[in-house]
Amino acid sequence: MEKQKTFWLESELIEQLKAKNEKALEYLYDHYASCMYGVAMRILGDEALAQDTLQEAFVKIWQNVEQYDFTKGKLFTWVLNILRNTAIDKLRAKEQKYRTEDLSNLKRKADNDTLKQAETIGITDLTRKLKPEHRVIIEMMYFEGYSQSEIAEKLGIPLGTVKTRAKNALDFLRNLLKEDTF
Amino acid sequence: MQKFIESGILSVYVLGIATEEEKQEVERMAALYPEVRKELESLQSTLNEYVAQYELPVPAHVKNKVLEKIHHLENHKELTLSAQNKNQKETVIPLPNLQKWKYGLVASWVLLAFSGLLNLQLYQELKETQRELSIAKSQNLEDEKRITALQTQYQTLEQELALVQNPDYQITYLQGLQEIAPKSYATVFWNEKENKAFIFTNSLPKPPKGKQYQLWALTEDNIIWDAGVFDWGKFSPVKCFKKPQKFIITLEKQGGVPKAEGTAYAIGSVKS
Repeated sequence: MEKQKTFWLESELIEQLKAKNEKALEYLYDHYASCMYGVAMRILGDEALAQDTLQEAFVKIWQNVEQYDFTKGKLFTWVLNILRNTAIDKLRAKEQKYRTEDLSNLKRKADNDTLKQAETIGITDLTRKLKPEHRVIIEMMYFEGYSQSEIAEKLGIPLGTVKTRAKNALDFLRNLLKEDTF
Repeated sequence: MQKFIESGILSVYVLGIATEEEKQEVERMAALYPEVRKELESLQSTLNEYVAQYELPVPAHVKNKVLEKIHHLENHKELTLSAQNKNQKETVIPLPNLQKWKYGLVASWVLLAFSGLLNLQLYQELKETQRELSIAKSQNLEDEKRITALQTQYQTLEQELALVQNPDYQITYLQGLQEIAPKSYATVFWNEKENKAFIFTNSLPKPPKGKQYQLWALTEDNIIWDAGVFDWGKFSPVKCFKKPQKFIITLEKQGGVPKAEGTAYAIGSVKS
C-alpha cells in the first residue's frame, strides 16, 4: 500500500473527511482504530462483536462527519463517543438476549463485570494506581453506560452524590496523570 | 461559576452519562465562560488519556473490511443517484405511436445526458462548497483565538499601566543573568502600604513542562524569603515583604520548593 502523506493536522483531516476523501478515513483508522477497538473490547468482551462495532462506528463517522462541530471538542472525543454509543447499544442488545434467558445470573455477572473485565483486558499501571472506588465509578459510567440513577441504585448512594463521585474520580485521575508525566 | 464547576456536572458530561438537559446546560455554559470550557477540555483530555491505555491491536483483516465497506458505500451512493435519474426519465416517456416514440426516445436520451451532466456539476459544486465552508470555519476559530490572545495581552498591559501610575507601588527591574538568560528581564511591583506584590515576565525563557519560576526576596536582615511561584507570561501576584533589598528568580519544579535549589535566572536590586 502506498504511503502518501505521513502527517495531517486535525483541521486538514476533518476537512478531508468532510470532502469524502477515503484516504482521510484510512488515516483516521491508522491512528484511532486500536484505541477504539480496545474500548469496544472493554465494553463488550467479545472479539467478533467488537470488530462489528468498529466497522459500524467507522460507517457512522463517514456518514455523519458533516455534523461534527469542532467547537464542541476534539475529533478524537467525537470519534470515541460514536464508538462508545455503538458498543453500548450492542451491549444492551446482548444483555436483553440474556435477560430473557436468566435474569438473576446476568445480574450477578454484571456486578462482577466491572472489576473482572478490567483485570483480564489491558489492565495497566494507571488503572492499578486508581483507588477502587474511583475505578468503579469511571468504568461503570464510561464503559457500561449506566444512567446516573442506575449508578446511584447499584452503589446504594443518593442520586445527588453521583456527580460528586464522578468529579472526585476524574480529579484524582487528572492528578495521577500529572504526576506520571514528571 | 465555581459552584457550577464544583458540582461535578462537567465530569458526568465527559463520562457520557449527563442527561439531555444537563448536556445542553454544559454546552451553553462552555460557550459563555472560558473557564468552564478550559475545565471541560482538561477533564476530557484526562479521560482520553485514561481510555487510550486500553489500546489493543486490531486484527489486520478488519482494516480492509472497513475500507471496503466505505468504498462500497461511496460507489453505491453514486450508482443510486444515476439509477434514480434513469427511472425518473423513463416514466416520462409516452408511447402513443412509433413516430412520437422515436422523437421521445431521442429527447429522453438528450434529457438524460443533460441531467447526468448537471448532476455531476452540482455534485462537484456541493463538494467544493463543503470544502470552502470547512476552511472558513477553521479560519474563524483561528481569528477568535487571536482575538482572545490580544485581549489577554491588552488586559495585562492595562493592569501594568495602572500599577506604574500608582505612586504606592515601587517597581524593581530584574535583569536576566548573563550566562543563562542575558536578554531577559522581569518586573516586580510591590506596595508595602497595601501589602501587595505582582510580577510580570514573558521575556524569560518559557519554562519546560514540570518547571515553574519562583521568586525570592532578600530582606535587610539577610534572610531569603520565598515569595512564591508564578506563571510565565501572566501577570501574577506574589508575596510581599517589608523592605526587600533584592529579588531573585530561580527555576524550580512545578509548585515551587521551600528553599531555592534551581538555577538563578534573573536578579534585581531595589532602588533605595
